[in-house]
Amino acid sequence: MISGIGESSAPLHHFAGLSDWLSEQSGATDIIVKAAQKLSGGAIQENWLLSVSVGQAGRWLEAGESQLVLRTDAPSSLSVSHGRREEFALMSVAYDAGVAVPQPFALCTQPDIIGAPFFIMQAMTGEGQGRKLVRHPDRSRFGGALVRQLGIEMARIHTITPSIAALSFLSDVPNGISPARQRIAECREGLDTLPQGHPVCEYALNWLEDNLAVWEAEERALTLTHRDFRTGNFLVDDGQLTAILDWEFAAWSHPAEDIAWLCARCWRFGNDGDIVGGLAGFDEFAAGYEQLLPDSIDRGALPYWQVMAELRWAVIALHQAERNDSGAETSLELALSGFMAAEMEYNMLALIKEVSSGAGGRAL
Amino acid sequence: MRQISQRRAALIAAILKEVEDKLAPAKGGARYSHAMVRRALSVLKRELDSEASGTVGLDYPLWQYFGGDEHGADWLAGKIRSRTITNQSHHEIEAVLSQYVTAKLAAYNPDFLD
Repeated sequence: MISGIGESSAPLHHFAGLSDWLSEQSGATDIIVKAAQKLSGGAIQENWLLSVSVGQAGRWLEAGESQLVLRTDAPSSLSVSHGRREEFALMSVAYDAGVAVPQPFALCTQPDIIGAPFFIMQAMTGEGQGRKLVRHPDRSRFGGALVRQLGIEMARIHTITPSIAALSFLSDVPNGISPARQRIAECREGLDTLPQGHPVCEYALNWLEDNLAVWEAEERALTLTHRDFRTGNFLVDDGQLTAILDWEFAAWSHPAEDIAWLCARCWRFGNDGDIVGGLAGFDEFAAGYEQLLPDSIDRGALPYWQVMAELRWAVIALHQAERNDSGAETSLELALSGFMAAEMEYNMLALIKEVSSGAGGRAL
Repeated sequence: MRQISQRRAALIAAILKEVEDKLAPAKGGARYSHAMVRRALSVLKRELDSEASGTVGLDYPLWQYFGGDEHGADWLAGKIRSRTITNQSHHEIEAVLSQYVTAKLAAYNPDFLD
């Protein structure tokens, strides 16, 4: 099953120019786009499952009936997310490094084909809905192995270092500024552009700032981090991980940022007992991760980054709501995101209390 | 209050669009729209019930602690940002913030507190 299939379909004239473009890019001929269905998720970007028929095969299109995924911008987007060109480059580097990502095929930066930049990638099978995954009747059977796979794949991402020329556009970590300090600045900036004040977020920001000294005390190597690696952003087919999706927030950072994001309560979809994305416990994840990068998980850093994770998601959720509330894009999903921020605020306060009392947070 | 009214109006507009989409299958409808509409309506109902009862505004725990309805979330966010209000100046600040969040959750998502 393809994740989220059948959410909504598009009039095919929207993709009228696509056949010729696909032909140019792939070398295949007699291409007809027969159907386009919007896939679920994607509050910031849109994913369309294309059903195409192909006369003569090309470099990445076989003759006969095929499926492809087209990824493009949603009507309004977040300024902090990468454009399609950058995301295509990130996925290409990850694919070449052996990370489980859909193979990216071709990028179009011209707006005249479908009205916005887009890229075409391999259609992968699997379920991506976070709530469905954590409530899957067989989760207790496959959860541990899945989380171990997640650990391996995340570690594989973290083997990619800033020396990669294709990712030179990610030079957004100013010298001497730690990723944590940068995230604090980003969240402050995010709060400043909202019409309402958010005292709990401000309190958490001050706490994160006050604890920076401990965090910055030792040098930490930067790696590629996905920064949205969580339940809901990967596909699972019959208990097996098939693809890591949504690379629009990737950046050079400390690996703990990714690990804490995956383990944050806000991404457990109510299954709080299973720390790693509501799917299984931390030991299984660590076993997978450290199979590739032995003794590399900075466990002491995780609670700090979990507070950061809750804060960051709260700020994003509030901005998503603002897109609806301002009239930029009427969407109930966006509107309701804003009401979820209170859950993240609750988690932030609980974590700060736990860490301050020496309990060590919830990661381990 | 103006911001709450604006947010409420935007929420109602979003509900109406969702219902309209659902009633027009040719346009496609968002996944989970029934559940989302139900959730949105319950948020609205609880907000309106709170307002009608006259005692429970979402900022009430802040007004109660700091005195006066001018001391709401906007005011407190600014004070915390400027570090005029800290753990040292107000030892109970974490507890007050916790009550404030609990009040919001009671309106927006009471299941979360179970």
